[in-house]
Amino acid sequence: MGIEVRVGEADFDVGAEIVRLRRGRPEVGAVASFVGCVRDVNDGAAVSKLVLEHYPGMTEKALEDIGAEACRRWQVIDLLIVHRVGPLAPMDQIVLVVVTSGHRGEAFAACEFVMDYLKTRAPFWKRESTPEGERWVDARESDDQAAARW
Amino acid sequence: MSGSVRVLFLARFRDRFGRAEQRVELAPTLATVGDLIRWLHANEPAAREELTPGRAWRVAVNHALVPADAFDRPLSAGDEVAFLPPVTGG
Repeated sequence: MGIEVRVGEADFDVGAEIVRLRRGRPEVGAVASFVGCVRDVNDGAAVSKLVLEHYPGMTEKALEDIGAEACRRWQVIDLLIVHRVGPLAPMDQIVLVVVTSGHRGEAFAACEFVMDYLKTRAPFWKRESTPEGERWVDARESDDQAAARW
Repeated sequence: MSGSVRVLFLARFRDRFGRAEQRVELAPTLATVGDLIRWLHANEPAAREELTPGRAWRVAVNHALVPADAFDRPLSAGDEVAFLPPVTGG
């Protein structure tokens, strides 16, 4: 079982990451992945760009802790979390979670758990540019409810 | 009790508090996470509005979140204490 976390400005290729995680792993029977993307509209305003800020030093640790908790709860073979920071635009990819497992149930659950926990526990903040100027994105109560399910 | 801690105000809190960080000298009455929050409340209108129980802010000491029921955690010289507004990643 391996947990890999990457935080940085570089984009990612979900296909290439899945190929890499499966290489030499005939025991993998299921791969679940999630990709989060920048939308062009948020809370009723057009978004032209977005800056993702984080807390260097804590961010990686928070993501590793979330990955480790997922591996305690489910039979995970490998788990990858990639989160981008810095300037992003609509259509850009923000976050990638890939979970490999023996069976689909474990992979689906672990992947969704990681995203729900990341949304409420990992120190990232979005600042959007809209026609009315720049604004910090508000946290959503629905994210807290999603994380509380687990 | 002597020495100081480094206090960080992250993201939106940097705007609200008007600074990214400050040094705070520890003292017998300023020795825990809770003491620091009370000290900020006494000195900063922004702290009284933002650092309240009803809001989803968090505090981390040396990169580990401190839950609200552990605010009696002692601070040591050189600690990094960060105030985090509600997170919005993913």
